[in-house]
This record gives sequence, structure tokens and C-alpha cells, in this order.
Amino acid sequence: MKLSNVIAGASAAIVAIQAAAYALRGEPDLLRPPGAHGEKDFLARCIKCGKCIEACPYRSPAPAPQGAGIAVGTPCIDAREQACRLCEGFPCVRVCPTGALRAVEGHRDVRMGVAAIDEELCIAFQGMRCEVCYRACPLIDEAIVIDYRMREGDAIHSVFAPSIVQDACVGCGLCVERCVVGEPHTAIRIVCDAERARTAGS
Amino acid sequence: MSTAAKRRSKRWTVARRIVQAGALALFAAPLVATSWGLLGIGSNPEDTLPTPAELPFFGTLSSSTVLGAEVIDPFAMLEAIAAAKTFEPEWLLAALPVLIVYGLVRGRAFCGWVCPVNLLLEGVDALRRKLGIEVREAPVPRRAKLWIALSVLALSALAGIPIFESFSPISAVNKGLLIGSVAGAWTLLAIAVAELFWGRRVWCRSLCPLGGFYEALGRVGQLNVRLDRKACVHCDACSKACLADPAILEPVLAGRDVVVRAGDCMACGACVDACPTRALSFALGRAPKPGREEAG
Repeated sequence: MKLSNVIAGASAAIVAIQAAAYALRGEPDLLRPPGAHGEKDFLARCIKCGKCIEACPYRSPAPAPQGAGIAVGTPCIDAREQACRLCEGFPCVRVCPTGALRAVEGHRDVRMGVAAIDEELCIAFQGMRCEVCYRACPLIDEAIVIDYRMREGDAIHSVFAPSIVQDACVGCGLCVERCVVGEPHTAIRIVCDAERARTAGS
Repeated sequence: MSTAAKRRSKRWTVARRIVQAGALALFAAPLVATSWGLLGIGSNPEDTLPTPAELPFFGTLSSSTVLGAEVIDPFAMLEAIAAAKTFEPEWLLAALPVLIVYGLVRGRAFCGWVCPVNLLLEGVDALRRKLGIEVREAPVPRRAKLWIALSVLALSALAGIPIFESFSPISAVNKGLLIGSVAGAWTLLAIAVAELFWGRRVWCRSLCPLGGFYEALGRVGQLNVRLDRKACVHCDACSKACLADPAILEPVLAGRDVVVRAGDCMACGACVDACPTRALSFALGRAPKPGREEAG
């Protein structure tokens, strides 16, 4: 066997392994910029042109890393790093050439995901006053409300527990960015429920 | 040959290098102008930073915005249509400028004059020659890339995702430099290795689906290489210089045609530069194919 053929085979193998890794990785769970209509629709339309990334004045979305499988290079948001600010006019949606991001007039049309609170980690549930996520939320008193109640088995202290209003939360991630709990992970997270987002509108 | 004469004889290659570098600079300019690539998130995350999108031109090779109008890579658009099983008239409108420009000039003028991967691989080819590594001239037929382009569209429809965009080495260079995307980086490495040790320019000549798409478009190009048969001394310097596939020069060299008609020609001008008797030149329009008698 000639060495050059071995090298050609190795080159083909690099691409084939990449393809196999992509295929096995399955649908990634990534937080998309506003205007995505579910992961399936988004992945079908996104050509990874990067214009939404260049259009964001907050530098929120970034190209997905190699570990994202076939979605490598698509825009995704690390909410802990820099969450979506739901800009007026949605510059990222406006520049998308293939409608992967589309149909967003105001923040009520956005459906990036839904916040979920880990009550084991959230210090508010332990009886401390925090309310950071509540105050960080751009939809204060709409998407996050404070559930004020007496602490269980405690006649003196109360609990100011944040509570997510499922239908109002747009999943921008600002609560995640600000959450005071970091270890082992934030007490609030965005669930990018693809199925839910898909049915949220088209 | 004096240096001046040598430089004059390389004028198409020199012009091409300027355009290739210009294409790289063009897409980087909006980012540099807004210091976009240099600044991370502001010291205060609530501060808005200037964005390239506020400028009259910004984007990447996949899609850009020119004076508010969308421009889109037509092949990426076809992939998205196949994957999403839908399209909007605006997408076609955005692809039209690209189709018209390369359609009128020459489909693969993109490859020869704009594509950063071709530029890089010309460097790999030069390095290989310098190292004295012998490789095969054409291990894969040049038309393979047409079929690869069709397969990419079929696979995009099946997988529901524009498939080439996850592997594209063109993205790896263009978007790697601009926004730090790593998509296609492995493909780029694989190609560089294959071209260094296996087949000469095998990616651009035979494998790239985007090249395949532009090859198909190249069949209507108006900028063509013409041969003055009286001046030709059959030295074969043009075939050795051809960046596409030397086979595309055969019809003119054998006298069966007057211009290089193959959609594969990138109008790179390497053959024009290489010709010692100036028998080759660029000509506008598609001269009709000579009849059998004329061709003799």
C-alpha cells in the first residue's frame, strides 16, 4: 500500500469521523437568539452566516463550539456569560437572511425557553431574602413573581420565593446571568424546550 | 527573463492576489471599523457596543448586507430550501446579485478570485512543490464535485439541516477569522493533508460542492480564455499552470474549440500568464463552437 493512499484514507477518515460524531450527537440543547421557532426549524434554516452575532450590541450570541455537533457555528447564547437584552427592534432578527430568526415584533413574541428554579439551591427557598432574579427580569411581576408566604414550621419567618409564570417568561436568561448561586450550578436555568417552543407559534 | 518582464508576465496572478486579499479585507473591514473583534463584552455588561450591522456593509461569505439589501450565498440558500422545505421570494432576491455577477463573468471566478480556501490551498500547493513531494495529478474526476453538490442538497433535505455549512472549510477560514467559528476546521485540516501528500489541488478541482455549484453556473460565463492557434507552439506550459483541471484546455489545444468553454475554468489567468507566446488571452462573449469542417 502506498503511503499517499494511507494519507488520503486518513484525510477521508477525519471528515467521516466528524460526520459520525455529528450524527451521534443528536439535537443539541442550546439557547438560541430571539425569533427562533424551535430547534428543528432553526437548524433547518440557519446557514451559520454569523450576521446575528455581528448585529448584537451586547455581544450576547456566539458561534456554537465543536462540541455542539452538527450545530457547530450556529449562534447560541451563554446566559450566564451575557444574556439576551431583548433589544428594541431586535437587530439580530432583522439581519437574518433565511428567517431562522423571524416574526418578532415585541418581547412578547419571543420564546427562547422558560426559566426553571432549582428549589434545593435557591437561597430564597432557604429563607433568605434575595429576589435578584425577580429584579433582573425585564418582565418583572409578569414572568417572575414573588410568592410571599410563611416559612414551613416557622411562625415568625417568611419566605420570598421567586416563581416563574410559564406563559409570560420569554427565556432571555437575565435571571441566570444574575443568579447569586453558582455552585454546582445556578439556582435558575433556562429550559430550551424545543417541543414547547415549536408549538408556541410559527 | 528580467524581473520586470517576469512580473509583467504574471500580471493576472498579481491582479488575482490583490482581489483575493481585498476579499478577505472587505469582510474584516466592518469589524475593524467598529473594533468589534477586539472588544469583548464591555466592562459594564449593560453598555451597548457599536456593531458592524450599523455600517452600510457587513457580513460573511454566507450572507452579507449591502446598503440594507440582503445578499446570500446561492448554494447555502439551496441547502436551506432543501432542509426547511420552504422558501421565501426574498431569499431568491438575495441570491440574485451573486448569481448574476458570477453567471455573467464565470461561475468559478468565485473560486479563482474570491474563495479564501483556494488562496490557502495555492499556498499548500506551492509548499508541496518546494518540499518536492510528488502527488497524483487527478485522483478524482473533476465532475465528482457536481455530484457532491447534488448529494449535499439531497442530504440537507434528508437531515433537515444545510449540511455543507457544518463541514465547509470556506466557513472555517472566513468565519474563523471574522467571528471565531470553528465549523469546518477539521475538514480544512483534512484537505490540506490530502493535497500535500495525495492529490494535486484535489479539493478545489474535484471535491468542493460549492465549486461544483459554480461549475454548473460557469456554463454561461461570458469571460473566457481564447487561444490564438497560429501563435501556439504546443509547449504545454498552460496545462501545467492550470489551477482547475488541465483537461479543460484540451478542446482548444486540439483545435476543436476556440475558447475554454468548460464550466470548470476559474478565469484565474494562470494559463494566460504562463503562455510564452501570448497565444492565450481573455475574451468577452461566448464565441460559437466551430463546426467540424472548420476545426479540421
